[in-house]
Amino acid sequence: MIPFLITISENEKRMLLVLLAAVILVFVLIGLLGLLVKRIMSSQAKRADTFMYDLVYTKAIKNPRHFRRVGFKKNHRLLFQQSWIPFLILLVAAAFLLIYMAIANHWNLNVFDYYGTDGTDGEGFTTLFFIFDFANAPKSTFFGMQIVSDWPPLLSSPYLSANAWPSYVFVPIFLTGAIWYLICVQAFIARTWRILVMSKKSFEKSLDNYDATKNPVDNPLPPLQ
Amino acid sequence: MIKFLQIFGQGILYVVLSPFFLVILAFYVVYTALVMIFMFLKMIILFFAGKSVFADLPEDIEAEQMKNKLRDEKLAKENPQTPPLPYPYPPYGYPGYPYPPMPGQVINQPDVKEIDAKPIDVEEEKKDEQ
Repeated sequence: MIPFLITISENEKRMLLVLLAAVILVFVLIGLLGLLVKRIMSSQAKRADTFMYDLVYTKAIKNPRHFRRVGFKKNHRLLFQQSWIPFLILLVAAAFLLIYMAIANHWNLNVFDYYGTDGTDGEGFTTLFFIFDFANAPKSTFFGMQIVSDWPPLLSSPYLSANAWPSYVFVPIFLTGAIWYLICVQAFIARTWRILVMSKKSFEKSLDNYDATKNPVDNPLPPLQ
Repeated sequence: MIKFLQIFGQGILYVVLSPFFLVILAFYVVYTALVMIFMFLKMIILFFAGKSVFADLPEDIEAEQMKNKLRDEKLAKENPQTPPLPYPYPPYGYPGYPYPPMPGQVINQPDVKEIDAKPIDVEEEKKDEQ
């Protein structure tokens, strides 16, 4: 193993270091993204505390099962309140596309097409972006692995296409609705998790701070449930 | 450095678990879409029945009553109210109804002005009448 490492060239060493740094950076960025999502979800979950606080405080909720039943019901209501607008946006976008396809009798419309027939009349939203040919990107062999070593060839540059106007309308509206809806779903998952955790925690009886040697007066009876 | 390594480790963990997260997210997207459709239909039915899908739950009403009760009890403790007057007579001490004097109590009365008066002569009065 050691003689093999010694035989690698200076260039390969540099490449190895760059590769290692790139991999570490990617994982750190993913870790930071995960932390951000976690923080956002924990702040979204606090909404469940808001709508359950009074019920638990006034003892209108009797047990964990009751907590979960009422909590889920309120969570569904809040989901409906929060996501009816993105849901409507998605429906409007889908209805627009279907109506266009029906009127133009063009049922095989590809909203992600960038080429069309000659590279100038694409009918998709991706006509507005650079398209790279990642499949044919230049590669180098490194320790027996094929690694992308250069920028991939360009397949298409951004251009405006008259054929693509339905895609220009549909894709931004649909993406807006979809991202908004996904955020609502994420909040729903966060609240669901919080309800499951708090349904147990709110009714948990712990003996951690109980001291039987103390005067009973110092250990007051817990409130009735 | 430890924090950096922790984040790096979490990054690896998230990459490994990402397929599961995506499956869970996809499941919830489908589930919430069904919930939305169900709630929408329920809202329409309840609308024609004159009710709201967002009406208070029985637990909400119970909690509200409990809160009102606690609030009233707190207010009653902080501002004790005078009891209402008994019918038909108000109690002593009520304006216009002073306490009766205690034995030996001197009641303040207005000063009486002394005037000069002659003793009445009875015989002269009889003469005048005749």
